[in-house]
Amino acid sequence: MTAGAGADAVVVRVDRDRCIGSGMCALSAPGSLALGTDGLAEPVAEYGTDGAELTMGLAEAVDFCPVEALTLYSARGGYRIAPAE
Amino acid sequence: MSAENSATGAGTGTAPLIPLHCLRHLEPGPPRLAALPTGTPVWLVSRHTDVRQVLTDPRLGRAPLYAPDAPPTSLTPNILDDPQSLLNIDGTEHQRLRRTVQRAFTPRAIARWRPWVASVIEALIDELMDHGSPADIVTAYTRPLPVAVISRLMGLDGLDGKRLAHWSDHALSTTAYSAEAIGTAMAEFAGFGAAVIAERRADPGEDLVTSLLAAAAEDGSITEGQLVTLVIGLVVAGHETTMTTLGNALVYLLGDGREAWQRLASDEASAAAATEQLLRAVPLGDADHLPGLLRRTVEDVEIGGVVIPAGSVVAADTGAANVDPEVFTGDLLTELFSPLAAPMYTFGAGPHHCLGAWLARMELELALHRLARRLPSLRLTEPAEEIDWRRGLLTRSPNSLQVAW
Repeated sequence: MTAGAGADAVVVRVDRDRCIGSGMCALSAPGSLALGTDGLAEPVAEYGTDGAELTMGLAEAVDFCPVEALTLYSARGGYRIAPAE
Repeated sequence: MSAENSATGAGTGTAPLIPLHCLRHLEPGPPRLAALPTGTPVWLVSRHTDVRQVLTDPRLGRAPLYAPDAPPTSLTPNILDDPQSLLNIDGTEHQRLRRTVQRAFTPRAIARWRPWVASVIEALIDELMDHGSPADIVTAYTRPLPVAVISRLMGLDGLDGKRLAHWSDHALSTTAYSAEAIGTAMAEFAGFGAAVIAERRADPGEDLVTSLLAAAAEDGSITEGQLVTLVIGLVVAGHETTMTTLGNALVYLLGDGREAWQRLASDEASAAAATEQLLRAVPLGDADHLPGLLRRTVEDVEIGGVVIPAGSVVAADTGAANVDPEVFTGDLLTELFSPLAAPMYTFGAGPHHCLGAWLARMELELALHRLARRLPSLRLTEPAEEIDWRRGLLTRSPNSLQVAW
């Protein structure tokens, strides 16, 4: 299910200067993140654009990124959800 | 000096060695075939972009290096060759094991230790100054700091420094010790790891071992053997490379790079920038037994315009990539306080990127900054050619380093 129009939809941003291509996020949340051809993570599907549902896998991916390169934002509100500032 | 705690073992020679910051690297170019000391063919990958590909491309892994059909990559296997270690598993299995410890090593988690690490550093410098000039900075500073930090993180209060040095030297031995000696030391070390695990299960604490045991119990798929290997791997990795980097950084900073010492003292940001550059440009060892970070292809992979067949051993030469003139220009001294022009691969990249990278950075930048601030006149009292090196290991650093102020 995508929740692009939903109030709870999230987008995920990748700080590509920090990303070291561990691929942990792509394993935890294959529907939200993938490694690009340059070996660095990038959001897939709606997670880079209009936003989609916050899954357990995505929350975990953000939590376990070894270099804290992932940030979750509310798609509609634009505010940061995780990690905490 | 006992050979028990200094890797100066037989067959490793005593001829003078050049400091690591003077080491010459492979000229970066397309992947080329060479051979490991075992005779196994290896593709040497040296360009910055190619090294990144080797380390991040899922068609290359660590586990295939230890598959039944894998060619030998090590003459005398050491701790890095244990097939059940975090380093030698890939994919989901790797992720499940790494998750048990990952949270403790994120930048934020490590930042919480900063004031405490600074206090350990100040106490060591106090002791060094009480001892008085001259002194051996390895015994007084570069060794005890990372040992104190990993001991505290893992709750290893009673850890005997001599036993730890004995285990670490064997764990990373290339030619310093025999296979039998390494096997015996690793069995003892594993016994120590198993005892720590048993102790922490009986009496949980606030430490990393307690938290990784809780995470592993929740996961349910992690074997006892993997846990023991992980715990002893953390003990070694948690201090040895930091000690090595700090020792080699001081060889440079108190010698060829002496004019930077004053600026290192000025502020932590300068020390942080210098730490990145030192990590980039001063390799951990000679790479004569291991020409880079090894991977094995699981299918044909094109790297830098060369098709490398499935089943090939590939070495990502991070030392060469870290000085690739396509990416990094200028010498270390002129660049010492500049931001990196591109990522450096000393900590690797991809799934096996060094777990302790942020801890190592924090220890190094604080250690350099505080030492330069407290001892502005610190200098080497022996020429670099006379340094007594730890030999026959994957890493090379001074066994002792005489300084005065």
